[in-house]
Amino acid sequence: MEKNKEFSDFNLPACAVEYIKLVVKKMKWRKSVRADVQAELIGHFEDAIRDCKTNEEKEKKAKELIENFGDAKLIANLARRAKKRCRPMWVKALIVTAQIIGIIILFIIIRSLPMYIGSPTISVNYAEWLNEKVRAGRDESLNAKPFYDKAISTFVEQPKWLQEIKTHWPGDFNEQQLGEFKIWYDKNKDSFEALRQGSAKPAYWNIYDTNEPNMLAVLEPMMKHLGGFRRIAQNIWWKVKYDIYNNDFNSATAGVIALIKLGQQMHGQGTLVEQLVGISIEAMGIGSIFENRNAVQWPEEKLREIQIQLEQYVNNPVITLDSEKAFMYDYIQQSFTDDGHGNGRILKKGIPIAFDNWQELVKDFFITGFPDRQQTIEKIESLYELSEQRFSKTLFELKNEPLDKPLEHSEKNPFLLATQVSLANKKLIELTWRLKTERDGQITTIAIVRYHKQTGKYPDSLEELLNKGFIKRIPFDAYKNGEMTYKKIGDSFTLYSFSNNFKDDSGDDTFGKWKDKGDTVFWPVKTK
Amino acid sequence: MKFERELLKGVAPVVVLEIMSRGRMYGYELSEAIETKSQKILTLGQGTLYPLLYNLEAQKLIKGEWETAESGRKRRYYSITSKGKERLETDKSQLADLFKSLKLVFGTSFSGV
Repeated sequence: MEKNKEFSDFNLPACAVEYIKLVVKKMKWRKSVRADVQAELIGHFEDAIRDCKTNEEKEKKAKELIENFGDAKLIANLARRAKKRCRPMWVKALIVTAQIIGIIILFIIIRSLPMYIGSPTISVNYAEWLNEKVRAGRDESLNAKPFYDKAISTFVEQPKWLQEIKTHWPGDFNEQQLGEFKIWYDKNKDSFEALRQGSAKPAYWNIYDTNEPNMLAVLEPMMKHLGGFRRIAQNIWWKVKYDIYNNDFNSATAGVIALIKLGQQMHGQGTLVEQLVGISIEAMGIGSIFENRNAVQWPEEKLREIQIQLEQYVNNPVITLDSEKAFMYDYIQQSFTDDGHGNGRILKKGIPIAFDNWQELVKDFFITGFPDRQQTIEKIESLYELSEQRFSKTLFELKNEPLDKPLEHSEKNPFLLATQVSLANKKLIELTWRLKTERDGQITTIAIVRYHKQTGKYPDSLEELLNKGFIKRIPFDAYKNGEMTYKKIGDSFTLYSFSNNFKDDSGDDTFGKWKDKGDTVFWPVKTK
Repeated sequence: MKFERELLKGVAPVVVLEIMSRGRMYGYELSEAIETKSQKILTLGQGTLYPLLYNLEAQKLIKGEWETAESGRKRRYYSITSKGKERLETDKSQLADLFKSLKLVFGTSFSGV
């Protein structure tokens, strides 16, 4: 095509060639478009000088034309702009889209950049803070920890068949199993003794590693240690069963008390995971008393000892959220800058704690801007305040409240704050009230059995039990928001909580404990 | 006679469309035609001619096509489109109204229409 030919193919004066080249060069546009414009201008000049006879005339005419055309840069700019408008719609749309994407990317980069600039200032060692909190100024000699550590380091793993067996009663073992069980029991005597000695101490508190870089790192090794607590608790639970089977109620009582106290010492302080393990261990201890076939043979004085142990912790908080707050504050410390006045800017690490969900993150990113350190602290404090308010209410009072609000907790939610706080709101409140109700139920059951052992009959009412000094207060059913349900039936009795459905199902224990159907029945006891 | 640039700027597209409505033309031919038809009163700057043509093309009022002329040379010919014709009619009508209004304002001293 002619438009692609070189200038030498045309008979144009040098000034015209130079001018056209300059215009085309100044256009700074696509090569094909420049070639088009160049071809048109060459044609224009050629037409203009067509009638000139001599080179001088041609030169003169070309100069006139150049003057008429004007500034080459201006022509080039006007031509480029006009040519740009000639682009097809899809190209224009593509360009606009690319521009929008470019702007968004630029915005994201500009917005994100501060998150990557700066570093946190670590001014508080929260592990140290937590150590002081759990120790509460007590002397180290009062701590059960060395004994529990010994119990964990000396325990012998249960035989595999024992871990898998369905029955909870040694009377169901065959000869060989009983023999193996006895050997395992004897091997664990040191561990059992260490656990008993630990439970005789007034308190247990953990010592958190203050050299770890953050609270998350403090938690990691502790998780393994907690596995040891679970194992020694399971061991002593079997020991209690075996002692009851052998009618050794002295040893069984020591075991039950050790188990209950281990749990009681662990919850109400320390980290949340420790408290949860403590709750489950105390519940395990409570369940070990009557859930066996020799239950009625408990001597009255031994039952009284167990009852006293259970009553000791009735007024203590089951859960405290101090460690969780420390964990959050530490996380903020690690993920915000510090301006020296208690405030600071968010760093990348702070995303999981500053936002509850993706929508909030996107909204703050594009519209409102990120929360600063102070705002995040205020948010956490208000959420924990809400949690603590909820802890002060009974489950019955909370039954219509969505406990996982205002934050949604789900397995897929990557936001730490939502996961932690909503967990505190829902699961912990349920577990707390479950343990409290279970404890009240067991204290009352023990008291009723003791009453029967002393008088040969069951009390007509819980008031009678209270008035005769067998219990210190009327047991509370958090699922009923009132007195626990006691019924004297012929030569027996039933004691139950309304359980998760908050309804009286007449002591129906078909579905088991703490289910959405039926009641949680403390007596009569189902044996496994 | 030379017109003020801004005054001519608004009229130039109508002039180009009007001349092109009589037949397709290439750039140089068009500039010559404008001068001839207006008896050299309207002299569209050569430099503004091509940007003007590209703009009209972008608005789809004219269409440019490369063609081989009788002389054997390739030229880009511009022709008015149906959209261009419609625009021309509208613009012409508006110009007529404008001149009428101007005449009313200037009275007998305005003798251009």
